[in-house]
Amino acid sequence: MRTMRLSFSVLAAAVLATACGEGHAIFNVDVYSFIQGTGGDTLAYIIPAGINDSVQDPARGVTMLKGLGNAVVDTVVLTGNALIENQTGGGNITFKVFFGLDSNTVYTTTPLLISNGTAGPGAVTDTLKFQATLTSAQDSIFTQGKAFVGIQVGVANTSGTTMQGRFQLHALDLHIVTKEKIF
Amino acid sequence: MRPTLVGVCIVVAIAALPGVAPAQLLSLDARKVGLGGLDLHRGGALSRYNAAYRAVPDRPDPWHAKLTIPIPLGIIQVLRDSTVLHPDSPYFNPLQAANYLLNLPIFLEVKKVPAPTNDIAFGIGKDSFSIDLGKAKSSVPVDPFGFGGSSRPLDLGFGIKGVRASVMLWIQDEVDFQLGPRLIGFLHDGQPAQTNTLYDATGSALAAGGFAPSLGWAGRISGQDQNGVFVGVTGHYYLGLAYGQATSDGGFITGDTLFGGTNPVTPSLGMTTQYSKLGHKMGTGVGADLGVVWVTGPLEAGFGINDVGAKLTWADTRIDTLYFDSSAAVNSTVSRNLQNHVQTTTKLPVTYLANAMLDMGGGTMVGGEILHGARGTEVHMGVEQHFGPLALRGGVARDQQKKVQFGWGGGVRFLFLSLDVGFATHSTPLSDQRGVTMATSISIY
Repeated sequence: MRTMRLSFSVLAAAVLATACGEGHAIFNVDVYSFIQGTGGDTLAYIIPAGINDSVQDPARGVTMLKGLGNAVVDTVVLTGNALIENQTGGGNITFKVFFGLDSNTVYTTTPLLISNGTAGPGAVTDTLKFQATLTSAQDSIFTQGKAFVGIQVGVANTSGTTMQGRFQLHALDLHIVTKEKIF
Repeated sequence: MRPTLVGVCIVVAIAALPGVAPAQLLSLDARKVGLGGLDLHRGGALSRYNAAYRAVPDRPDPWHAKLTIPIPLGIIQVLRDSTVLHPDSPYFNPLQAANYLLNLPIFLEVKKVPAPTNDIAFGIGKDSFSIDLGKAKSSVPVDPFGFGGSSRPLDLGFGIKGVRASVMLWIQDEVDFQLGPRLIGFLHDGQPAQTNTLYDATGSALAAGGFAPSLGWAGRISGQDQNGVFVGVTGHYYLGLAYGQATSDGGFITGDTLFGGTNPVTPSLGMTTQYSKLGHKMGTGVGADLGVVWVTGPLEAGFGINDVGAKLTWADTRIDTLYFDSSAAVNSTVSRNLQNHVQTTTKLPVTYLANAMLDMGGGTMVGGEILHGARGTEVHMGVEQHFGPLALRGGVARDQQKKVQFGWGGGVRFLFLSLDVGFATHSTPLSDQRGVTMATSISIY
């Protein structure tokens, strides 16, 4: 048996070779869909007063299309949004997105996206929107058949009480534009 | 699994190959290329398709060549572009390599069909996958498609007073494909892939070959000298040396999750093959070629039809089935013999050619022909004007893809030799613009 990824990868490669001509191949990857449903889209935090800490979930696999390995990556843009549902306390939130090829070392890599927001004070829900255009040095991760994504929320409790709430990811999308050489 | 899907992909790719169309117009004779694929000088195609032409007296045509030798300038182009053929090359292009394989460019392509600029968008999620091919979706074959036909590479014989005994070699090949409705919806209509759904394509292929002792007669039934009505009939006793045929339905069934990584897809493959190989009892059958030609002064018209009733019976056929057994205990393709030493039949496609040509005097000749084969109908029309040793030619054709193509060219003659050049347009399914191929050849008179 083969995975769906391989099957559709072969199909996609043939489609590209047939139909792309001198145009671009655009891959819109719904990274959130690979995180959602496994509980990975929600990070709960309870941080004592005056403490900085972070929470994260295990890295999740994200399927790319095999065959992109030879592609010339033109642009990679990471976008998304999340809700910061704070219950008590207040402080600053730092949201980080990591990508890597090894699930065990995802969080040791340099985050591809860092977005800052505030939480609270008190029971307040804030929306955090984020976007990052990646550098060419970071693009190579997305030319592989599979990558691993990790999300981490850093919490700096600047209030005098325990800061409690949850970070709810709602969208995380990769927009990859490649040109020509797919095989 | 993979071979099946790769097959589907290759089918999709081949369907859009840029070089398929030009084959309709291109001949090894630059004079014919310049006439839009038409032969105005009673070339071999006329007697191949019309059994009556053997009886038509030669007319005084100084441009009827004994031999034409193509000048393969296109090979130089391939050699210069050879890096696309090597898989290790950074310029390796499998589509171009396949195109070279299927359409060996004997002649020079002086204007390539512009590569279309087209963005393709893929949408990928854990449970979703979609493709928007943009303008290229028109290249996805919605209808059944294929290629093939029959040919006679050799026909040796002798004749006495209109009667001709001969032996010809014959070859038949047919390949047909049809994408399944869900695959069409996915590729052509941009429908998202569904879980637990079969994506498949059906295909069939046939190859057969053999020889045929033949006996025919061609003669004039009215008229005199160059003029008259000529008819011809040739009976063939087909002896098939070998044949193989396969019909298949292959694809894959998606799982509960499209890109879960652990959720497999299930291959789906059902194929039936039947063959009678060399050494088995030969296939046998009878068929006939019929033709009629009417010549009156400078005008002549003809109609010929080949392989009428040519049905071969193969008395010693083996039938096997190949399928994918998805049960946990097997999980692989399984081949089984269904029947052996059974009788099966194949049928050669009927081909016809209708042609007309007129010598208008003053060195002007015009003509047209309709050639219908297993893969559709081609129409060729052309005109040739001579000015002493110079010839100018022009033509128009409708290829099997129902696209109009044009030809033009010229030639210069020195004693018994002529150097000719012909240009022909060609198209791709992805572009409205045409490319141009230049053919060059030397003819000996």
